[in-house]
Amino acid sequence: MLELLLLFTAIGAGFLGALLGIGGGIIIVPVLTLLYNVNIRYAIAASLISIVATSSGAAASYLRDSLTNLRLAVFLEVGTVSGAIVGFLIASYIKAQFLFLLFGVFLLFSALMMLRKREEHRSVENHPWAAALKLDGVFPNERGEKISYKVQNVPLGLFVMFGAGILSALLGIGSGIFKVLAMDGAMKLPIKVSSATSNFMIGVTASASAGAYLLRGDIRPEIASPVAVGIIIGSFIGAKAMVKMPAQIIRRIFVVILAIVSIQMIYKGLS
Amino acid sequence: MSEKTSSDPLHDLELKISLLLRGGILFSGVMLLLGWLWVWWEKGDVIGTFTQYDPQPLMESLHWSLVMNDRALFLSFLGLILLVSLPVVRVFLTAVLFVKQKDYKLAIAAFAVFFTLLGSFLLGIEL
Repeated sequence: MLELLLLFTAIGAGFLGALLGIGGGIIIVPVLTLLYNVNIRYAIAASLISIVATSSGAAASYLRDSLTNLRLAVFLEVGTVSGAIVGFLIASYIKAQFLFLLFGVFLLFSALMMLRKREEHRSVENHPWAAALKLDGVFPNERGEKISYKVQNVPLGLFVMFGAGILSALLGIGSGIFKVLAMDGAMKLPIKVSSATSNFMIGVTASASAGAYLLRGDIRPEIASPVAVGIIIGSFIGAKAMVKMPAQIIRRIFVVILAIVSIQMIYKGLS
Repeated sequence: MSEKTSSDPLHDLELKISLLLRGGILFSGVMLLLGWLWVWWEKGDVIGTFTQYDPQPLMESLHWSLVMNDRALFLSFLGLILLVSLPVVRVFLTAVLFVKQKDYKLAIAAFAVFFTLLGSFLLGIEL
């Protein structure tokens, strides 16, 4: 019965994730470890599988909106995927307690980031790398007009992406928060473009470490299957229900829950 | 600042790749669901056994499921392999797309991602 319950929990995680615009990993890893007492390494690996499924499945939707910068995504994937390799290697050598601690700190950081208001940027000048690789682009505004934008600080963006890849493999998360930080914070991309491009990249980043974890034996179908299937179903329903739900109120409640869970994760890491 | 743009052939082809990828994800999702329900029907809840970390390499698990004729577990693992391989296939097709567009700088970047992905998978194999 527990596994059936896990399927429904994953549906809930996927639903909430889609509603709040966050990945399922941030919810499913604490749920698996704190509620189901699953070893954190299995939880992280199962979470990565669900991220690969949801992000890859939704890639076509992100492209169809014409917000994703495909050229930039491919270039930045060099950073995230190599970071994921480093993350996988680090995870192999550190203790599970440290993973709990790190996850707890990440949850606190995520809660703070969810409270911040993102500022719209518009860069008028390309970084030399962006000009050489033609990374700038256009995106449609509300009236359907195409607005052009440039890309700044490409090396810094690539470096932050490398860090995002490390954290993705270490904690079983999509690292969307860090990808977006790199793109609208450092590279000064429009908010809609950075969100769509980040979502498009998440599946490839997660698959780098998911493949390694699968071959090593960390991914058990008994955990990963109900989690992945549940999150796919939940995020599908969540995306449909998004317009009808009071997302701002749910967001505030979720930030409080996130803060409480982060303390629990840190406590488990210290005990 | 605003301008009208024509449709981008690279974007359109990538969209086709992503739609193909979505089909693959759905197919692997069905395999995972059927495999899991089958395993659950035969063995019941086993989630309680995963409190301790004791990984069994994928090759051993596949071999074991074949030897024991555990078709449910084999189907689940096939679903997982397909799911994890799909983004790698997408990156490869994108790299080919860049080559066809004679955009060699981005093609190198895409192939770099592809080979890094393959390399990362190999890290999971304990020699």
